[in-house]
Amino acid sequence: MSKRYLIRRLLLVVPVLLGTILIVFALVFLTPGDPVARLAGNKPLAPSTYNEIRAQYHLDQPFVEQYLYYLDGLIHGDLGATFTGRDVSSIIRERFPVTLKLTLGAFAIEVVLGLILAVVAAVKRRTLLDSAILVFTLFMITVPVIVLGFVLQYVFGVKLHWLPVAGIQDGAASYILPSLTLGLGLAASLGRLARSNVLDNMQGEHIRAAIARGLPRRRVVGRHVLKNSLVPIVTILGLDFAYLMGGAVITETIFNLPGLGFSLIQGIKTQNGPMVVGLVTLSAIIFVFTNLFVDLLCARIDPRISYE
Amino acid sequence: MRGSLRVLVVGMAVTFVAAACSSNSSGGGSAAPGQQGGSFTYANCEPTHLIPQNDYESCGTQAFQGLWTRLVDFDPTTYKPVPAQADSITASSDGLTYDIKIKPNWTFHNGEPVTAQSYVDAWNYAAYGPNAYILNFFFDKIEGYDALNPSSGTPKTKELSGLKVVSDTEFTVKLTAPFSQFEYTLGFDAFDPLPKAFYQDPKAFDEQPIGDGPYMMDGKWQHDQAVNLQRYPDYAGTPGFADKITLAIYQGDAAWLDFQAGNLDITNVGSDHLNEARKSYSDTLSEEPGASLLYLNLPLYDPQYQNPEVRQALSLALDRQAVMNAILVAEKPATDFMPPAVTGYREGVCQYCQYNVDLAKQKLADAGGFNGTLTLNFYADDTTLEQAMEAVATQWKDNLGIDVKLNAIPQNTYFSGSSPIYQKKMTGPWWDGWTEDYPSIQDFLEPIYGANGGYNTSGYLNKQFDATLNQGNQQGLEEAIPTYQQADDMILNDMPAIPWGYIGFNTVHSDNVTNVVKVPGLDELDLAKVQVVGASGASASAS
Repeated sequence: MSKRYLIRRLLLVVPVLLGTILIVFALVFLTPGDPVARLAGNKPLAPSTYNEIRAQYHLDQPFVEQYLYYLDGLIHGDLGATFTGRDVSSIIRERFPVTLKLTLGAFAIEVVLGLILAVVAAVKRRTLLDSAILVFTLFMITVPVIVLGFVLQYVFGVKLHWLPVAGIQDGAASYILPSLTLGLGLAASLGRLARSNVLDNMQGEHIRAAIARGLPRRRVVGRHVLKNSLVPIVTILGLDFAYLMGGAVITETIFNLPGLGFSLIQGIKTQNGPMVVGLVTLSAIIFVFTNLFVDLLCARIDPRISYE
Repeated sequence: MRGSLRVLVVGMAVTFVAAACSSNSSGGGSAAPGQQGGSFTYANCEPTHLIPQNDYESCGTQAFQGLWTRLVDFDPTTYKPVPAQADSITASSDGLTYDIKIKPNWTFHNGEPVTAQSYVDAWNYAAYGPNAYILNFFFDKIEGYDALNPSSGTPKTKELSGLKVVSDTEFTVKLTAPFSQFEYTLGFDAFDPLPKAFYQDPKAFDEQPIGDGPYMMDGKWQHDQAVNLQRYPDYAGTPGFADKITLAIYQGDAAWLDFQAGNLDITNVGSDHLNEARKSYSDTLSEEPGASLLYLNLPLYDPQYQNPEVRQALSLALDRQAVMNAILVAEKPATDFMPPAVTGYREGVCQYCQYNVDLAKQKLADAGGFNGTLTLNFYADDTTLEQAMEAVATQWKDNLGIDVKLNAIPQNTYFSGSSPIYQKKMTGPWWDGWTEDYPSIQDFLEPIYGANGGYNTSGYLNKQFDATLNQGNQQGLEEAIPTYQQADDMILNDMPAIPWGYIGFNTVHSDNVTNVVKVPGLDELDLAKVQVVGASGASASAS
C-alpha cells in the first residue's frame, strides 16, 4: 500500500462527484413537469409570483447555466434550497443523524446475526439446525421490507405496545423496529453468502491440518476459517453500509422517520434539483469512501492483496 | 413508491380490522365542561411554511388555526362570515370599499399590539410581486395590485393604493371591481396580520412564527417532527382549553397505526381507513362535510363533448354510490356543483347526477351517440383512484356502450404548466378536484366555469352564466347568494363537468380528549375547543 495509491484514489473522488452531479442534475432537469406551477395545486398562481420564483431558482435559465449556478453555489458551500425556501444543507444536517442511527442499527443486526447464522449453519452443516437456518434466511430474503415493516410495527407497536409505532420521539427505542426491518433481510443474505464461504474455507487443507493437529474446533473456526472468509464478507458489508446510508425510503416512510430517504423522494416528487443532487452526491461520497475503506481493510486482512 | 405503499396500507388495515377494535377502550370518563388544562397530540403533516401569506396547504393552515385569529370565522350552520378578530366589516353602497374595524387591545404573542397597520403592512408585503409569496393572488381584487405586480420590471411602489389606515383599529380596502363575497375571502390566512418582528427576519419568523391567536409557539418548529403550541396567556378572545398542543408531523400513513396504538389523541381519517373507523371507533368518529368537490372535468373544446346531452348522459350513467361503497374514492355522491359546507349549497339539485341508465341511454341516442373510444384521464400511482376509474369505465361501457380507454398521467405533469389540462389538449374527461378557499357558492362557480375563471380548463363559455355571476358580485353579501344559485342552475343543466362526490372531514379521538370539532366552513380542527379529560382544572372541579 503506497501513499501514492491513496492519493490517487482520493483524487478519483473529484471526477466521480462531478459526473454524479452532472448526471443527476440532468435527470432532474429532464423530468417533465413544472415544479413551480404545482406549488399551488390546480389553483392559479399569480404570474408575478410564478416568474419571480422561477427566477429565484434560475429555472428560467438554460440547463448549462443552471448547472453552473449550482456548482458555483457548491464551491461556496451552498447546496441550494428547496422550492419552499429551506436550505438543502440544513435539511441534510437535520436528517443525516436519523439515517445514520438507522443504518448503524440495521448494520449491527446484519453483522451480528448474519455471522452467527453463517458460522452455525456451516459448522452444523446438513443437520436440522442448518436446514432451519436455511428456511429462516430464505424467508427473510423473500419477505419484502414493506411487509416485514408493517408486521413488526403492528405486532410490537400497535398490539403489544412494546415499542414505538412511529416517529423518533422515543430515542433509541424508536430505531429498534426500523433497524430490524432493514437488518433482518440483510443479515439473512449475509448469512447465506458467508455460510458457503465458510464452508469453502473449511475444506481447505490448512484447516484439515489444523484439526488433525488437535487444535480446538472453536479456535480453528474462529481464527483460521473466519479470517480467510473475511475479505468477501467485508466487501459485501461495505456495499451494504453505503446502501443503507443512502436512505431507506420504504422503512422511513412506514415508521415515520425523518431521514434522508424520505427527503430524496420528496425532492424527486417536487422536482427539486438541488435537493436530489445534494442527497445523491452525499450518497456517492459515502459510497466512494466506504469502498476505499473496505479496500484498505481487505489489504490489512489479506496481505496478498496489495495496491500499487 | 408512495403509491404502492398506499395500497398495502389499505390492504393491511382491512386485514387487521377485527383484531384492532377491542384495544384501547378502557379509562376515560366525561369532561367537566369548560375546564382548562392538560395537553393533547393531533396528527398533522409538514407545512411548507409557517407564514400565513406564504403557505397554501392544509398542514400549514391547521397550525395557523391555533396561531392566528382570522378577521372572520364562519357560522356553523349557514357558513356566512362572522367577525372574529374583526369587530365589524361594512361594504360601501357601491360594493367597492370595505371598512374594516378590528377589536381593540389585541396583542401578538410577543406583546406587540395588533393594529390596522399590522394588517395593511402584511397585505402589502404579500401582494408585492418580488417577494414571490404563494398567496399573492389573493390580493388581486384590491386596487393597486397591478402596480405591485407589473408584467415586467420592478414595481415602482411597495404599497397597495387601495389600502388606507384610518386609525389604530380601522382601515379601508378599495377593490377594483365590486365583489360581494370579499368578506368571505377574509377568512383565509392570506389576510392575517403580521407583527413588526416578521419584517426584521422573515426566515427566522418562519421557524417560530408570532401570531395573534389563542396558541403560541412552544419552541421552534421541529421540522418533520412536530409543531408544539402552548396557550397564549394574554389572548383577548375566547381562550383555548388545553395548555399545550402537539401537532405531530407524519409523512406517511403511520398516524393511523399510531392512533391505534394509543400514541395519538386525535387523527383525521382518510377514505382509506373510513370503513375501519366506522366499525372500530364509531363512538368517537365524527364525519363532517368537507370543503372539496371531486369531479370529472370535460374537454369542451373537443366537438365530442360539446352537446350537453352527451355530458348529461355520461353523468347519468354513473352509479356513484356503488363505486363509493366498494372503493371509497369519495364518501358521498355529489348532488350539486359544490360540497355541503358552503353558503348557497342546495341538496339534491343535480338532476343529472342521479343514476338513471334509461335516461342516459335516451340522452345519448338523442345526441347521436358517441363516436370512437373515450379516453378517461387520471393521475398515476394512486391505486384506489385507478380502481374507481376502472369502475367508471365499466359503467360507461355497460350502460352506454362506449369503449373507454384509461390513461394514467404521471402526477408530476398532471397540474404542471405544460400539462394537457392547461394546454387545452385533453383527449377526454379527466379526474379533477376543487377545494374551496372560502365557503361561498361563488368559489365553486366563477373560478372554474367563468369566462375569466382562473381554473376554467374545460373551456366552458356561457355569457348568460357570466352575466349572472357578475350581477351576484355586485349585490350585497347575502342577496348575491340566490343570484349565484341561478348561475348554478345553468351549469346544473349544461353539465360542463361531471360532479362526482365529496370528501368529509373525519376525525377519531382517544378517551383523553372531548369536544373534538371542526372549524365551520373550513377543513380544520378547532384546536382551542378541544378539552383534555382529567386535566388539572377538570379533576379539581370533579372531585
